[in-house]
Amino acid sequence: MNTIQNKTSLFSLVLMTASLILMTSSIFAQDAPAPENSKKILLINAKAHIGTGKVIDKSAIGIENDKIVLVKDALAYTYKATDYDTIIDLKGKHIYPGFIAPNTTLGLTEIEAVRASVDEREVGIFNPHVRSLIAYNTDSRVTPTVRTNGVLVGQITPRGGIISGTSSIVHFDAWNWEDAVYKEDDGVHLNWPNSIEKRGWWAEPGPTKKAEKYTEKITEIEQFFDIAKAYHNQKPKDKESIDVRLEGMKKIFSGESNLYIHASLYREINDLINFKKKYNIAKVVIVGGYDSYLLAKKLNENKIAVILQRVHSLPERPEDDVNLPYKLPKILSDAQVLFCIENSGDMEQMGTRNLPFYAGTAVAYGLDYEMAVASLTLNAAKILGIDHKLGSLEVGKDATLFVSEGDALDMMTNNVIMAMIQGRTLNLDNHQKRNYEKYKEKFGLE
Amino acid sequence: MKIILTFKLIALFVLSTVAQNHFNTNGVHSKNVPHIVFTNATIHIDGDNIINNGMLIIKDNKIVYVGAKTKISDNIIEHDLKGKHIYPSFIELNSDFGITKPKDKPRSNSPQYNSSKKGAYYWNEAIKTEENAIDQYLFDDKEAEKLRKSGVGVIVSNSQDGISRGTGTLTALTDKEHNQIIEGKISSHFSFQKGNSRQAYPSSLMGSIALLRQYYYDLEYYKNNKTAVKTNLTLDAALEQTEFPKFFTVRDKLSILRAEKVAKEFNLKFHYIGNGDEYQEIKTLKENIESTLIIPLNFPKPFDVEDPFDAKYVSLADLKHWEMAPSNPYLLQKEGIQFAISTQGIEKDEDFFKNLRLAVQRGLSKSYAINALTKIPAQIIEKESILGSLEKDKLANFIITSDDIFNEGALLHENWVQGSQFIINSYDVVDVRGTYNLNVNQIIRTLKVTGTPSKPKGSLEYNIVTDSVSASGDLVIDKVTGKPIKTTKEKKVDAKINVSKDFINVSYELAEGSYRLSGNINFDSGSWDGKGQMPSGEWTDWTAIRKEKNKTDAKKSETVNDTIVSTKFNYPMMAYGWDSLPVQRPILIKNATVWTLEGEGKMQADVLVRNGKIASIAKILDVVDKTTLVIDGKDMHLTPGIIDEHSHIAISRGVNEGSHAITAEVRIGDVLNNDDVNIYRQLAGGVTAVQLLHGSANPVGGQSALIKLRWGQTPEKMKIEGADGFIKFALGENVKQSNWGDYNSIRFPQTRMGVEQVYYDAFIRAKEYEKAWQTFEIESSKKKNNAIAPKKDIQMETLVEIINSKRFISCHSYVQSEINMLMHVADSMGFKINTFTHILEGYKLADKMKTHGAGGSTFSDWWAYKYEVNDAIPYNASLMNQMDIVTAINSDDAEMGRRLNQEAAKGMKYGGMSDVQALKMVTLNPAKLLHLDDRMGSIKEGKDADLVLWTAHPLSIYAKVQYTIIDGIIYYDQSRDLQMQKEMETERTRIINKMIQEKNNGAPTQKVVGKKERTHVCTSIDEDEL
Repeated sequence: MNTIQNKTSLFSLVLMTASLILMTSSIFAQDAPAPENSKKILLINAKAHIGTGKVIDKSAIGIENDKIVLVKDALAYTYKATDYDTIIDLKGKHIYPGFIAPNTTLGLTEIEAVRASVDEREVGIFNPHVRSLIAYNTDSRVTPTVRTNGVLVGQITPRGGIISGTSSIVHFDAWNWEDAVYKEDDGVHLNWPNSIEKRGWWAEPGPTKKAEKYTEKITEIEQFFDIAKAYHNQKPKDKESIDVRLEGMKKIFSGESNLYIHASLYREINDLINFKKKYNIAKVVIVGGYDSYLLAKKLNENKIAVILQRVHSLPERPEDDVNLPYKLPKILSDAQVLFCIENSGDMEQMGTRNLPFYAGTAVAYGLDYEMAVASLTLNAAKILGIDHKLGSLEVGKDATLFVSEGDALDMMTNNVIMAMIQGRTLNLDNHQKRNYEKYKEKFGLE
Repeated sequence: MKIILTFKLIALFVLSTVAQNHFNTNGVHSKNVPHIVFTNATIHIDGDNIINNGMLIIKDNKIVYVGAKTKISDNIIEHDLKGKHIYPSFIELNSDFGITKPKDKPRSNSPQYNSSKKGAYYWNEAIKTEENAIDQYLFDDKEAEKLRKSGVGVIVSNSQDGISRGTGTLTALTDKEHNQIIEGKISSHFSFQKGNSRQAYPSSLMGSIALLRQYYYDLEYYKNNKTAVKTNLTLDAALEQTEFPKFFTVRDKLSILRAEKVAKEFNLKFHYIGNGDEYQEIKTLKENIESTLIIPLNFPKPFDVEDPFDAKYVSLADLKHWEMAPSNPYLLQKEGIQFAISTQGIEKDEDFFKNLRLAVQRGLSKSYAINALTKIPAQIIEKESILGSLEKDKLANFIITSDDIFNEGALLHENWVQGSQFIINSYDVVDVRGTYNLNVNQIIRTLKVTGTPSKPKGSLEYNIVTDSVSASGDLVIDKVTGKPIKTTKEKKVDAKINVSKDFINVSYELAEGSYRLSGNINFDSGSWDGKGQMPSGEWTDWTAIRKEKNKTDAKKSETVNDTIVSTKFNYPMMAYGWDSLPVQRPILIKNATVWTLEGEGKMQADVLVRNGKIASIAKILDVVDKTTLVIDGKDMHLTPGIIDEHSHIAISRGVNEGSHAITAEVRIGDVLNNDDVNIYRQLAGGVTAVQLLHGSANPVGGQSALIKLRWGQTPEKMKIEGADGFIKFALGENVKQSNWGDYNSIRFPQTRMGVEQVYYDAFIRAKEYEKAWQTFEIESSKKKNNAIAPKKDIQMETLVEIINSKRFISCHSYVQSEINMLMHVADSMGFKINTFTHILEGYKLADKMKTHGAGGSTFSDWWAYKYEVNDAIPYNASLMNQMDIVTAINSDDAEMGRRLNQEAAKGMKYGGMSDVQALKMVTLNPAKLLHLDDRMGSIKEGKDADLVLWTAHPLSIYAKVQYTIIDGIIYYDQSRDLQMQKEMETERTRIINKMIQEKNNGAPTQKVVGKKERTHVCTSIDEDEL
């Protein structure tokens, strides 16, 4: 069949439009996770941002059960309408792999100022054994407002102490954390000491100065790692007793899990590279990494990736380029450092929905568009170790993706009309939309 | 300089009177008071007048003669000061000498709202005008010695604590108790620091200013109604001090201007004790100040900048200040601003003279330097009849130096205080520094003596010759000679040297034990000899023959380096500061898409800007005027400048006066900070005007300042001329202190119910206040007028302004119930709420807001950060807009403030606004809310030329700012920005290299301390920095 025929047949065979999808989704019980997909679905004609850096202007993407089974250029693909239960024409729309939010406290904290609703910071200094997964609240009211902008997966990360705990990766449409989990205990989070002390408090930062106890604090970390490594290295039969805390570190030394080191400045990053070598830790990822571009070569040599701090931030120093935080993704990309983008900081839970726009700003400041998409998708998946299942629109991967009416990285056009997690079509409603509708009705607005 | 030569024979005894002795004498009375005569000295009468080879005669504590050599009678003690100089001793105006530092009062967890001081004093503990330094004065020998070493003879001491600090006392640094006190109460002292007061109010700089203003109004009222009011001891004391010279201690140059505003309001004259950064606002100071500054010479030390990454934390502002600070005195002198110099604030006392010389090297004239330490301070305290120069009948306070005080190495020999001699460096100090051959028991070693003449340091240097030993411990044998090979090692041992007149002790320790030598100095040859004891206990003769004298510091004074001053000024003096302020010129922007936000919304047109206004908008424009800057805006978008209704940038020391429930008297406009880099950063985001709001810590907060981001201008020049007055109100969790911790649970209100009553109470009182004044006006206009003016209350005045629509409210608000309540309060009291800011539940009562006539300025998508925003929705702006409420998007955040176009764009995403509607939310609509829409907010002929040229659709995330223009002046230019970054780096490197050089030359350094810019949100409550 030639392409022209294909096109004509397509018009007659389209069974649903995107707007119909919205209607069907409202059949589901409010806020209930979507049911499993047992159908074969074809999404046709959308501009597909593959996640690998590739883009297909008119794509054909086939989904069966929970997986992507087909990714083709629609212009060069012939199919039988009968092969699919549903065919959706997405002409003029954009399709993206589900965006991934690394280093987030979504589901751990509901309302920042209400202590009872905050579950992100355990007591203690070295807490590798503390696991975020079991506190992840699938019923948070925040998550549905994040999904609607295309963010479908997150690395739920504890905070505080020197070792905050162990994160897990979940998707955002589940009855409980067991259903939500994408990767359990994907890594341990280490807060590297600050080489520069900031005095004052959050609202009134005082002057900054060189941290006097910086090296002592590193020694403290090394002492803990010495103990943890010794524990790891002993033969199981020699083990006298189980140390719950140190068990939490085992996968770091075995190379199964990532060690996420939260660090920002030159000196810190320089030192953590040496630390990685000293303890022979296979997988180290920097979280934050404001100055990481200054050490790009070393990072590449040591295979260290960066989960880059929120792009919408103020520069660290008054002399810094006013737009440096906006330019960092482009600079890292040029230096070929593997990176993705995170959102920790003020208002971080609800602000997770702005993740796509950080990538958009990065594009404004020079980053290639598809690389920007990759920094929210495949590169994030690679860094988190879930790229075999997620992160790109490729055959065999989970059908975790979304469709936007326009460019999803621009707030002016980001309008998610359809989203899937593992093939299940999500209900894109949330309480904020409902509140809007409720009051529009009250005031008789259109 | 004029040389005074007086040839007058004086009758010395005429002046003596019989001493009126108040003391009991045990034994025979000593009646003889000799004349002390100083001859052959160079006498500096003051900074301008010098007598060469002159004579000074004192008796008891007074000068009885200054002039040329004259015949003198008997009963004299003569000091021959050939080659030496006499100066009047220095007068220190800024000291707490002899005053015990106030103890920290116990801190309670709960806030303290009332004064803890018992008695009929002012209601606020930080106002302690009634305290007198003299009452707690206790002479401090150690401190006195230190001060005398810096050349100080007379000192004004006061308790450096509180806002009104009471009186200072004028004393002399002599240990003779009955000669110490010159005047018990000489001066009044002030600052903006509340000191050890634990009372909640004031918690901010603007609160301190308001407190001081209200205090002066209270004083005025008290003075005029003395018989009618109850006695207040603080105000009584203040009345006694009316004529005293007043000193105001500030922490930076901007606070001089702040205090001066208060001074002008109450017709006061403050002399400002500054911190050395005055040169940074020198023109503004010149325009505003008529009093005297008292400046320190505490020039910063170079930073440790060898590590380039550490060095990044030394801000350009600090680097420049390091370089410029020593020029501060020169620049003030050049500008004609009168100042006195303080010796205080310098870490090491001996650095005072060093820094004084440095200031002179930078151009300060020597005569002014002397006067600034003597005559000028004497004039300020109105004691020039007895102090400040060396003239007959003045007090005998002077110093004797080995040389012109400005010459390197000049020593301060003696400091005479009230006629008493204090030896600092004895005349007899022999400079033994140099290199000697020390011969002890026939062994000759080299002795090097360095250090200072009064504290010499020795080191003994010699070689030891030993056999070479291999790693295995064997002797290394020369194969030719068969003898062990000798090696020479240099050794260096410290030697202790004590000199007392011509007597010298040297001791040192060698491997065999210690050597102790004692001997005499032969002044002619400079060599020493004597006897000593060796480690063995044996006695021996020794000699030290001088080979070479200490190389006198050949370094000549640097030539005056005026270039530092003239070429490197920045406005402001920090990162991204201008070399010279940008100027207005005609600008033509061609071919851009022009978002007029008037009828047509947007159009293709050219825009001509002239005299800071939009001159015309048309299709094609030919410009004849060659000065016009033509900008090609092809493929670009021109919009009105962004206006942020809710911002907290550019504010000094506290955005909240978070103490009392009502603080309408405080004004953000008093505490603008033009040194905030966020001003520049927001320009880079297209922001041109902002409302700087007080925080949300209380139901009635402080007054706003409306400014344009005129980066580089002084605070006053940033303010929008003729703008209406605004004030911050707040509701909800912040004002009821929900998130302030468990101890903040005593201030009324703690519930939303209480908030309502705070408002009713306040406005009822305001109405009564207004009525009282109205009655007074009527009464006082009558013929038989004995009406008494009511007390002026600046808080009530502000509330009256609100009632009379002369000040407008922007109210921080979230939850519908309380918003509804406030509209009811306003309606019943006869005023309107101009704007509900944040207004996250505006969508729930948009109809009521519409009826009341309130606008809404909201966040695009914030929610869930506290309980009261749990129902916030991103569709809020859209809904309010659909209800025809004037709706704006604001930042309340220094970062978001530079992306307000993106936040506006969210109105298109959430609720489907048009792009024109969305853009209006950050331009025309906030202009309306701020009553500025007649001159800002849209592109219309005649409006202010506040414009932004964007590289793409202004609401798109891909839009970047090319130019930001305010009043027709380009304040941000993307390409200039890149160039500026390079220039900054060059400038930083230049200064850093200079610092390293200085460090290598042995200058002490300081650790890296960077400046972190301050960012505020409206919940910031801060007392520690006040």
